[in-house]
Amino acid sequence: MNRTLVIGYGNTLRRDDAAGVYAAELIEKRYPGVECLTAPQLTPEMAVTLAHYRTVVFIDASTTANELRVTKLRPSAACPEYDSHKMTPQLLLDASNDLYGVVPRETIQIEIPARDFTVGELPSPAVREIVEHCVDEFPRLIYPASAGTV
Amino acid sequence: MSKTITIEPVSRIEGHAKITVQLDNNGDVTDARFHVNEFRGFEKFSEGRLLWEMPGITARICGICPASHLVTSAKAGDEVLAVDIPETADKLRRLLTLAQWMQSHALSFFHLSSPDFLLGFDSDPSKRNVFGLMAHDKELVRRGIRLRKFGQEIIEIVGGRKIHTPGMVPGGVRDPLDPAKREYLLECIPEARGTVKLALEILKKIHEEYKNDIPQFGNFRSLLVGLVSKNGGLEYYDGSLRIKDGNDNTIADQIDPRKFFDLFGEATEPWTWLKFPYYKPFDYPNGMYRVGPLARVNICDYIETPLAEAERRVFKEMSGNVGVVNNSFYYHYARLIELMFTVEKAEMLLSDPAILGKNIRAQASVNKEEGIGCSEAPRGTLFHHYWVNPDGSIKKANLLIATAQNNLAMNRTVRQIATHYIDGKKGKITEGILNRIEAGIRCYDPCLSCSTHALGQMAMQLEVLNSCGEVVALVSR
Repeated sequence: MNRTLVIGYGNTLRRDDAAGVYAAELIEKRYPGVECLTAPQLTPEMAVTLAHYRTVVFIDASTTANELRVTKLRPSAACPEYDSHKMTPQLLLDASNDLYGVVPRETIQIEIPARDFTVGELPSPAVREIVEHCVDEFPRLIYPASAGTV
Repeated sequence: MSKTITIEPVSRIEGHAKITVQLDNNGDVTDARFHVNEFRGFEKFSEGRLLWEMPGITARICGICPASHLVTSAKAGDEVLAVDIPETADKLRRLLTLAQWMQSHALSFFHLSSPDFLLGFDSDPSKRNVFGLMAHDKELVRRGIRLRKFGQEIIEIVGGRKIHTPGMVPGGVRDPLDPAKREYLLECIPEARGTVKLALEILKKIHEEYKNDIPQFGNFRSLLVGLVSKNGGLEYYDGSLRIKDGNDNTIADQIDPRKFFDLFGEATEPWTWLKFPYYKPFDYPNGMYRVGPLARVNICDYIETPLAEAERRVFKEMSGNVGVVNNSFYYHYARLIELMFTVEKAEMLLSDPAILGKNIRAQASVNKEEGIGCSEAPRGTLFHHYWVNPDGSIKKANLLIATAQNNLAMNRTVRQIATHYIDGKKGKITEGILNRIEAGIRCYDPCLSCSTHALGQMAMQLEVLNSCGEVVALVSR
């Protein structure tokens, strides 16, 4: 189980909301061996998928981050509050842990600062630039101690 | 002083809505309404787009039932092209429709409704969800999630994508089925069948446990409308319309779905965007009818797969001498019967060598100015009606969504539950009472529109307003 999965999610018709999808697609092309899953939103059945990977990286647009934000996630002890319209990486990790007793060794959430959610198929130029930086730095973001390999 | 209670938004449904309950001076219920405050403009912005784009465009209406819109739109396109689609395309469209039912029905039971039943209507609302259910029955949740995943996988394999799937077109389908993927899907069938059996066993215990609540959950007679096959069997993709009343009398049968708009009208009310379809010969609002699992399982003469048929017989026995199960709570039971049907019928289709054929699309240009597509979506009968210019661009479109057809019945259900549980003399309106009112709506599993993203936290709020519109009490969760 030495596999890495990137889950990029967002609405590809709402410009910056697609930042995670855009990043995941570029990472898959750049780093052979990294698997990529894109989706409009997170869904509970992804908990089944998580259990099969050593490293899972969630990438999404964020309205609160001011710069690229990288957070390591750990299963939480308390019963999470669930909203079917707002599934989060933490909820999925907890679900994987509760249901299967297995979680990825590393679960990382990358948030890309985003501001333009108007109708359109590509993220704004500013966000595309951040996405490209995220892709360049991807190995160091998820394994800070590594020499840059995934 | 009269008061209005507002439940907004209604949770664990697909889309955004609110419920208001009007109280009189004694605190008793005088009226209750289900309001849909979304506006869907797909008909208007489809105008001018090409017929061949319509399946892809209309699949964007909803993130839960895109395959139903895709298939129904493609069928309307078939009619405009005046083609009979190849046998393989017909089978693949049927399989996709079944997969749509499978994932949607699994979502409704395991994710949205079973937390009420297994944790209790009065249990802690912060834990009354699929994750809270894990602590109660891990294996059930695990299996429920896998069953929905299986439905989604069929959609992805047959339609090309899980959400907003694009694989159906006027004249047929885009891609043939990969034989290796067919084998994979067949391997998944036994587990899926076992999961539905387990769910049926659990639901029967729920019927016993909630026997005091169930009689209030939309227990009334109405017309029941849906498609049946040529021989009167449960139908999901083709067939003709049958209308029965709440006493099991057949009001109309073998009706060409193209005649639907002659028989059914749409009324509007100023307090909601959702229209009120009704059966014209009975006028509005007496022409109230229900569609979806409860209607389909009630009106059909048989189900062609053995396990689902055995359950249908048990279901019908519950109706006693009436011959029709009129209580909306039993939408859940009918939904699970259909879920069993989807698994059994999917196995039949996948086992048929013709499903691997390579002839999957009939080619033609525009041959008619108008086309109507009709199929059974998870929540009921779905219609797409297009008027087309000679160049294939859409002149006008009209979509009749299943949820709207249950609008009169949903409002009556809300009223019935509120009237029973809210007692002016007791004064206190508990969270459990509010949840029962919401659960009445969840019986119908309405899909108001999933195509819009919700930003921020969805709250559940009860407001008590006096006659001046001032908030005199507020309960949030």
